[in-house]
Amino acid sequence: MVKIVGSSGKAVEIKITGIKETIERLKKLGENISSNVDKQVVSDGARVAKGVQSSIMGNEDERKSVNTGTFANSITVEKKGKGEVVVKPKNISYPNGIPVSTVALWLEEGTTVEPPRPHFGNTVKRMKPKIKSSMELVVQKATKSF
Amino acid sequence: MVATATYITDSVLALRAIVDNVTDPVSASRPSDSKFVVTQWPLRTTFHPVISIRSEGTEEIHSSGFKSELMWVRLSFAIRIWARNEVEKEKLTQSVVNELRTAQFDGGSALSDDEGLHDLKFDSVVSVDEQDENGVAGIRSNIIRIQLKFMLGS
Repeated sequence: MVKIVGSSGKAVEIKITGIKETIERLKKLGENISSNVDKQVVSDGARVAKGVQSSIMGNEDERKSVNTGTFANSITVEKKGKGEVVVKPKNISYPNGIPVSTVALWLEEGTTVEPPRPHFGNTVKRMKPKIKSSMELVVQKATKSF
Repeated sequence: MVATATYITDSVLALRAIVDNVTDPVSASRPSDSKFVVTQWPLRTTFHPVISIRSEGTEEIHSSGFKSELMWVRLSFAIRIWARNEVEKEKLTQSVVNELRTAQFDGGSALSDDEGLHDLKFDSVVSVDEQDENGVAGIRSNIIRIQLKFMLGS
C-alpha cells in the first residue's frame, strides 16, 4: 500500500491486490506449459522415429537402405531429460561386428564409395514445420486456459 | 560478389576460393587432373587428401517488410576433409577453420566485405572414419558444417 499526499492535502491511498495470486498463476502456467511440451516432445520423437524408418524402408522419394531390416528395426527413441529425446539406432551390431550406429553414420554422411543417404537429416527437414506448429499449439492451448 | 540470381553456385565458388588457400600436403605429387578442393562428391578415383564443398540448402530467416523483395536467407554448407590418416584430417580441418575465420572481413575475397556472405557460423564438426569388413581403417573424414547469411535482392 502506497500513501501519497493529494492536492487537497489529504492522503490518497493506492492499494494493489492480487499480486501473490498472479505470481502463483504464472508459475502454474509455466509448469503446465513445461509438462505439456515434455509430453509433446516424446510424441514428436516417436513421429520422427517412424519417419526415419519410413525413409530407410524406401517409402519416401529417396534411396532406401534395406537389406536385412536390422537398421530400420533398430531405430529407437530415448528420453534424455525434460523436453529432450534422442532418435537413434539401438546399440547393436551386425554379424560382422560393425555397430549399426557406425553404418548409420556412413549412410547419413556418405563414404568414398557411397554417396550419402541422409535418412535422419531429410526426415528432420520434412518434419520440422510440423513439430514447430505442434509445439505452438501446445503453448497456445495452455495459455488459453490461463 | 555473390549475385542473387546465381547465389547457390556463387556462394559455393566463393567458399571454394577461400578454402583453396589451405596448403595441399601433397601438391608436389598430385596428378595434374586431380584437384585438392572440389565442389562435387568425390566418387571417381580420387587422389587423397581432398576437400569437397557442398551446398546444403537455403532457409529463409525473414523478409524485409511490406512490399519488399529483399529477403534474408541462411545458407548451409558442408565442407568435408577426406584425409589419409587422423593427423592429416585434424590438421586440414584446423587449416580450413582458420582460413574461413580469417577471411570474413579482410580485403580480396572476404566473405562479408566482398561476397556479401555474412555472419559465419560453425555449426558442427562430425568425424566419419571408414573401415572395411575386417576392421582395416580407410579414409578418415571430418565434415565441417557452416552457415552464412545472404540478402537476396541486394
